[in-house]
Formats: sequence, structure tokens, C-alpha cells
Amino acid sequence: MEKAVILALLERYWRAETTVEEEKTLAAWFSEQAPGSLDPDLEPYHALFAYFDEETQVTPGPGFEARILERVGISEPRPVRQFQWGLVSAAAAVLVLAIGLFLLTPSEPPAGPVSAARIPGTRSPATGTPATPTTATRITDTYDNPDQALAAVRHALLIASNHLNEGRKQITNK
Amino acid sequence: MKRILLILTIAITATSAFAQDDAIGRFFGKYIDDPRFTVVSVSPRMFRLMSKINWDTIPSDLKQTVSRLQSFRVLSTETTPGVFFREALTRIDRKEYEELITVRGNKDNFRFMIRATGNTIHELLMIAAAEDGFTLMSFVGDIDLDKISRLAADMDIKGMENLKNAKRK
Repeated sequence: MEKAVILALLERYWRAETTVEEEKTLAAWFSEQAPGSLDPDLEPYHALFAYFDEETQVTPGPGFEARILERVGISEPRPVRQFQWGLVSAAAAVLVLAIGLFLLTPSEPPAGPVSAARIPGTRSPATGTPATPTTATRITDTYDNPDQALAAVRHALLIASNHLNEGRKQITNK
Repeated sequence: MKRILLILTIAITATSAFAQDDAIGRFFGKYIDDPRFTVVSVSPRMFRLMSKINWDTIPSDLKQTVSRLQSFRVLSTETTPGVFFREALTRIDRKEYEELITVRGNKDNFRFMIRATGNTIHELLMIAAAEDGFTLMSFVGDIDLDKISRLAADMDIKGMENLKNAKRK
């Protein structure tokens, strides 16, 4: 009975119609049989399935890769290193900050506290708005309305413009 | 790579925001409170407020020039102009400030210096000394020299002379 089932399974096995489950059943059945106890028509398969089973246990021995590579002609596996963009960008950021700080540090002690403490109006034509030191410039306003400020800037620009032209004229006359 | 560019951009924007301090603040800061000196300054905040002004009557060259300025400051004195002129020339960091124009006249000397990166001028500094006074004038922002030099040409020269005299009274 059992033999008939096994033979039927084998039949389908060779036609590649068995399921994984059925193949496992086959392998298990053969492994349970003692060698030589089977019918002559089943005996060869015992060895075959035993062989399949053995082969799945095989793993490459130590130094396998090295031996292969040696055979192929590459002496040592080249280390494949992933470029670490994270580290590089962090380093770049630090560098930029360092350079920025270096460039921005005034070459002499800044007049910061002094000018920040400056009381507007002491020497200025207009009273000016309360000292609002903008973080970096610390420029206190002389004028408290934009029209006056514009007039002053315009006036200064014209002086600068005039001098610029004067200078250029001298250069071209030479 | 993109991340590096992003970081660089942020860092540069941040540093340029910090780097607004003008030559007056950096090299002549101690004179800002000196009673011998007169200071006229217009802060970035005030420049922003100027956007509310009615610009219709303002010539376009002037408008464009002013709209690109961030701050403006003048430091002047009537005391020993020649001494301060020489002091200014030694104090200003030549690695950063490039001399643009030098005029040596009988009565007055002046120099224009610029602080620039590439073709962008961030600051125009005028150092002037005459018999009656010494003046440091600084414009910070995005400076277009051609526009500035055109301003005087657009204006009646006589009118400008009057302004100049009024200023020096």
C-alpha cells in the first residue's frame, strides 16, 4: 500500500508535478528506510534522496572566498567603501561656520557695547528713535521718520556721486 | 552633494546677514561717541520703513539706488582733518577694502573704497578730508556705482552745491 503511494508520488516527482509538501514526504519516507531494506525498484532512490539531503548541509569551508579569488587572479578582496556624505557635509558645515566666524570677528575689539549704549540725540540733529541695536549693525537711527532719512541719504548719495565723477574725470584726463 | 550646497547656502546667507557692519563701525567705532565727531546714520530698519514713502516724485535712478541700500552712516569732524584722514587710511583693512578712486586736490583729498565679492559691491566707503573737515561716509547694500555716478549728472549742479554748503555750515 505504502509502496504504491510512494511509487505514484515518484512518478509525479519525475514529471515535476509534485508539490513541495509531497516532495518533503518523499524525502522523509526514504530517510526513514534502512538502506538495503527496500524493494529493488525503490532502492536506487534511497541513495538519491540521501544524497540530496546531504548536499543541502554543505557550506563553503573557511577561506573559500579567498581561494576562489586566488584562482580568479585577484589577490585580495578590494574593500568597497560607501562614501560617507553625512560626515562630509557635517565637516563642510563646520568649516563654513569656522571661516565665517573668523572673517566676521573684527580685527580689533568691537565698539559694540559703547555704540549700543549710545544715547541717540546727544550729538544728532534729531532725537531719533530709542536705541534699537539690530543684531549685527548696531546702527542707531539719526532720523525718526523715513522722509528725513531719505533726504539725508539722497543728499549723501549726491555728494558721493559728485566726487565719484570728479575722480573719474581726473583719471580720464590724465 | 545637494545637502552640502544647501548647508553652504544657509551658512552664507547667515554670514552675510551678520556681515552688515560697516567700515565706520568696524574701524572707527570708538569715535562714534567722541564729542568731536558728528554721526548721521540710517539703520536697516529705517531703510525698510522708506518703502512707505510716496516715491512718485523721486527719480528712478535714486529710487533704485536707495531701494538696494541697507544702511548708511556718516562720521565727520572739523578737528584735525588731515590726522584723521591718515588714521583712516591705516585703520581700514586693505584685504577687504579695495581702493577705487583716489583724488588728491589742493584743498581736499578723498578716496573711495569698496568692499566687494566678485562683481557685487557690498559697501561703498568715501573718505574725505578738506581744510574744514574730515568725513567718512559709508553705504552698505547692493551698490551700483554707475547708478550712483549718474545721480549727480541728473541733478542741477548748482542745486547740489547749495546742498553741500548747507551741510557744511
